[in-house]
Amino acid sequence: MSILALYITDINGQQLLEYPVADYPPTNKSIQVALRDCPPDEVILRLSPNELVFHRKQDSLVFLLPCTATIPSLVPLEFISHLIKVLHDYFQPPLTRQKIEKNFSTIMMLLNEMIEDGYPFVTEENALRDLVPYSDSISKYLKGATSSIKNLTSSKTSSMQSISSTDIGAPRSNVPWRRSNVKHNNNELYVDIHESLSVIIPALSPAQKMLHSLASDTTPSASAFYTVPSAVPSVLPEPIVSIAHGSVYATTRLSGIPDIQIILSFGNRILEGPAFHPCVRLARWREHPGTLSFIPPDGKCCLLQYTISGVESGPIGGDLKTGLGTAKDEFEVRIWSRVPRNVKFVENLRLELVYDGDRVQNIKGVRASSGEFNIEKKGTGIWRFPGKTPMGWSSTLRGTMVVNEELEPGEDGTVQQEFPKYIKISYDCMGMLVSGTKVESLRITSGRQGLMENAKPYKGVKYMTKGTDIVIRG
Amino acid sequence: MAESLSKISAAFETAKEITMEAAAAARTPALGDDGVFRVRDVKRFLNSRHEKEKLQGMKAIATLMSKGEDVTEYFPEVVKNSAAQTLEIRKLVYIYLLRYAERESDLALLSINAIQKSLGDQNPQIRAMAIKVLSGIKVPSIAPIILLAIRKSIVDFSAVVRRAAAVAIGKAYELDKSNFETLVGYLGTLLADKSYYVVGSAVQTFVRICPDRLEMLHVHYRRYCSMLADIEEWGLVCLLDVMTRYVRVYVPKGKMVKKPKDTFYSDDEGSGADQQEPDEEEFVIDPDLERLLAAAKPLLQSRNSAVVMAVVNLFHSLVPEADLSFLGPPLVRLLAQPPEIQYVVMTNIVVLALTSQDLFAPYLKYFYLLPSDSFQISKLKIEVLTLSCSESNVSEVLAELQYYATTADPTLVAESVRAIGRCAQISPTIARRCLRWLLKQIHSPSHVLVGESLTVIRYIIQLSPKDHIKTVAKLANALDKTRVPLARASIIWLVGEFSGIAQNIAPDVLRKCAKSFADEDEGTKLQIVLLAAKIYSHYIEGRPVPDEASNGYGENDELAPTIKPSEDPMDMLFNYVMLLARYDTSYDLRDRARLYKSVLDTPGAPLAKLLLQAPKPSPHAPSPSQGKDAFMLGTTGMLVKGKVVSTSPLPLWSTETPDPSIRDDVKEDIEIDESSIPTRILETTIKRSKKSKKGKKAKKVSSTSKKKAVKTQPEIVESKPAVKAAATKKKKEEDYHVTLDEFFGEPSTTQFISESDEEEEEEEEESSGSEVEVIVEVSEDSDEEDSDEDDDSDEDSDEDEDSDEEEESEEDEEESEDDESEDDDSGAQASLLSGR
Repeated sequence: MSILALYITDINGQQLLEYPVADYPPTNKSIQVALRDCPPDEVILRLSPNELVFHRKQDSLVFLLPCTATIPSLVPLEFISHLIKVLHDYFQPPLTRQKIEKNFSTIMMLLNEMIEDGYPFVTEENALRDLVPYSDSISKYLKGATSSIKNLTSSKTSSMQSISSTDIGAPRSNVPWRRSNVKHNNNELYVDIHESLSVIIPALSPAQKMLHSLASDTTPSASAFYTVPSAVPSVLPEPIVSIAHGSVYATTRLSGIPDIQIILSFGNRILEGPAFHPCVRLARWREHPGTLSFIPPDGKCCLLQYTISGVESGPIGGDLKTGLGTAKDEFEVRIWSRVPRNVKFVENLRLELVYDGDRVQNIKGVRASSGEFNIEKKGTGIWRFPGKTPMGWSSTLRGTMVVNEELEPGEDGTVQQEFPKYIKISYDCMGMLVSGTKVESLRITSGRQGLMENAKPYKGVKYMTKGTDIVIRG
Repeated sequence: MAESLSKISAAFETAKEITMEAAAAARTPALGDDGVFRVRDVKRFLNSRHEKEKLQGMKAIATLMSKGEDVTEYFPEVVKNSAAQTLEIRKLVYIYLLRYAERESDLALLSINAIQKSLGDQNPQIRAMAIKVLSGIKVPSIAPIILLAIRKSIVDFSAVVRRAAAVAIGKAYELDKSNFETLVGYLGTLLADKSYYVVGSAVQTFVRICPDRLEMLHVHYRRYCSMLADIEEWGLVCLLDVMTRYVRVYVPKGKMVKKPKDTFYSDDEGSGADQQEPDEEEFVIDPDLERLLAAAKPLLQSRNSAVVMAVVNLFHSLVPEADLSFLGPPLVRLLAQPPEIQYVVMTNIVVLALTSQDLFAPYLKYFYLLPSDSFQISKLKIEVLTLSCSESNVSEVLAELQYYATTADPTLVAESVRAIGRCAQISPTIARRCLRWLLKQIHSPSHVLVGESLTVIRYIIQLSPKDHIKTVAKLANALDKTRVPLARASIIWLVGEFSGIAQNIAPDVLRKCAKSFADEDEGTKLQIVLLAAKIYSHYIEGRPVPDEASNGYGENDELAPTIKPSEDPMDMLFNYVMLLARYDTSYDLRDRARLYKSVLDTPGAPLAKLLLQAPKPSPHAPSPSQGKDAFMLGTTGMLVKGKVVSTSPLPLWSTETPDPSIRDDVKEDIEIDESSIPTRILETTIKRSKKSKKGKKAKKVSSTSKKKAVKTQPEIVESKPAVKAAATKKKKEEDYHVTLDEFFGEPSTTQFISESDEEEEEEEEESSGSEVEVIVEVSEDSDEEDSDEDDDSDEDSDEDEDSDEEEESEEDEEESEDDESEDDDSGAQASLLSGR
């Protein structure tokens, strides 16, 4: 039940860092050879009956963790997750080759604390901050705004730390996830709630399709280019899946040991198997569902993860119509934004048009009322809307798929016309949550003595919905 | 004002420091600026008098180590720095030693002295570091020193040091296995530690060095149950596994009990429980098991997926008969994790779904495929959909699978068509439904879809051939329109396979095929030849009654005029096809034709019958993961192809379990009934917070516990430092302690009582201190007896005990509400009763 070593490599498998744990761990070279022979999406690699390699890609790096086969299967993967979190905490995301190479000694000390006797040991960011001091003083100096001067002068940030220094001599804080003697000049408390949305909208039933085609046949095909359909179509199939995975993050920069209470409202929706940070008092949650009461770790942490099913389908809608035009060979994709409250725009909006790349050679006669459409890889066309997309907006794309001529014709002697299989929309939307989750109140209930008398901590709440997998089937 | 002044001056201080550093950097060029570390330079820096330069030297060493270069040549210079004043240098030296000491053991010994000295450092952090390094240096000659250091550290005042010692025990064992018994003794002390921080690591070491000594956990079992929520996540994974194993060996299995309590029978397969028949039955489990389950359930809310999986495994392997529907949501939630974790979770979900079909039926929507899913995850999701498919949700599942089957990704298409075939096995109605859809797909332009559909159609037909003669006819009709060679070949094969049953169809198909033989693909030609052989073999068999055979092609009116009385049209057709094949360009085809011809040439053709009419085994299409349910959840074996040396399997349920009183805690908690838990926890909470509030009083307590310690076992020794540690806690932090306990109990009342009842409680506890002594001795006795002589008498008394126990527990419940000393008394009685 041991982790044997850790290797960090770049995408091409070139080794950046090695940290052997066991005496004679499998080398990166042997792992790379084995990796080359296995299918690309194999998560776990078997080197021998005794040795497995768990690997994960993050940013532009690959983390390889050879382990003995007796290890519980999720421990190595969770460990890599923790390690990435810690490295993000120390060196800020995204992780790069340069950051790793510049900080070998710090990473080595971190790993020395994180793996003990081949098993994860101290993995809490705050506890590690106490054990392995690190500060990129220059960058902090330049950043200025949030990091106080006082913070800089505390012995923690000085690279030369004497053993006799009072700081390290003090016993560890009694709250295992909070580092000791936290001092901040600007006291801040932010809550960020992120939801990632997955929606599947099925194809229209034949009856609905009939209605649809009637509606579109009345408008000549060419006009789609000029007129912007003002209204959302009246016949829309209900999504068969609409799931939001949410995470509540707290970023705290508060001195002393503050006690915080956040009250969330989920609008009577059921959270499927919520997961909590160890700092959250579960009993309080059980008594008053929606109440997060906790002493936070310093910095950013994920307080709560939840899943809600049956949410709204989000601020962006779309549909896909096929068999249009005089030759019945055109398709039309429409995308529109609804007008939810508090939201002015969505960002990074893009639409993927997925079709059978083996049968379709090209798409001809593409007319898009806005945005840019490109075929980026076989079987996928991407329609991008750079910058901000306002609400209450819509756009249309029309085209015809050119079927590969080499295909043998069907039973009636003609090759069947191809249409997009589905469209996939993704976007980022600040200011709203599809599940309707809200922060009702955000209070620092105690532990204010650590704060300066006149300092009123700055509090902020941010919502973001990330449409990740919004699928509309054709 | 004063503060801001000090701030400014401090800022100046920093500025000065930075300037100085910059100046220093300018004076001596920084090491490795050009990316090259020259041996001479590095050595010079390591030998420097300035701490700063030493640090630079060590950082250079760290860089070289991380790059995977051999840095043993710096050993002497590095060892010299093992007593450096700067913490960072020392840490780096220690890391160096941990990796290279083995190679230069003589030189490494030079550093031992400095490390040993740090064992006595004021700072617990440094003491912990020292024990860690000492035990990690793989030089066998220092084994006795390590033992000594561990002995000192396990009673250390700081939990950090004790935790480090717990890990050190495992490493010391690796180094010198002869000290096993001593080390296990030390480990016993740490297993009894009050701090959840220590227990997690102690259990980890337990798993590593003596996983079979589950009897060591008797006295800790109930305490662990109550502290489960506080243990850090990695230790928790181990602890949950150990507890699962412990229960299997020492706690009676849950039983189905008929309401009128006269008969007992054990429910082996869990089938009875799952159906929840309205019988007068109840699922009864041991209170100790119930305690563990109650404590483990909230851990499903852990953010660490490894913990969630360990809890799921615990429930799955201890109470598979019970209603485990609550395991669904936490697992489903993990599907939002990174794809690697998703994959592992999905594999485990599939294994769970194999054993309990309806567990994931309410969460089907979570298993619908998304474009971002990798193929491996898609495959597993399809499998869960299929496994969760039942009469009630078949429309949904089929609709989804049919959609996937028409997508562009060929591997996914194949996977989903096969899944549809598995759904068809549920019932004949569903099979008919699947068949109807599959027959439509034969005309699809997608080769994969057609090929796979035909394979599945064949499966379905073979399940009950007699019912599907019509289907074969339909397929034969479809042959006219089908152009895809693969599909044609499959259909021809199918028709041939059923030529014995569907006698009217096969010869006609062959006739048509013979006409178009020249234009066919090679694969199709092979099938045509085979079809001819099959038909002919059936025909020869039926020859004694020629009338019957002629019925088979009676419809062939066009052929009729050419038939000569002597030559049968069947013979002619066969010979014609063989002739075509004989002059084909393909070697394979010619060979086969020759083979069939000669085999069928012999009178009666017994060989041909064996060869061509061999009944194909009724196909069984198991779920791809079938068989993986032999693996324990959360282990690695199910994730990779090929064998791996996995964790040892869970022990079987022992049929004869010792008396539950072996789990009576020797110290303070004597719990017999589950219902007394809340009050019990309440009390411990009070005690803890009280101790910490009043330092003086806490000392009193500690003196009583010291007495205890002297008189009783070594396991109690550590209660002294624990109390001391508690005494040093500040007021702020106490609140936190209370809150941790809120995970179990009711927080508000806890706090309230802890303030009002403080004085009384204090006295009671002192008196209870003396009570404890008695109890300890008693239960010690009972312990020994259990293991030595009482082995069989125990089991005899087991059943009687059951009823006894219930009475006792009722008593206990009442008393526990009164006050603590009383409670301990009754506990003592209980253990007396059960011991004798």
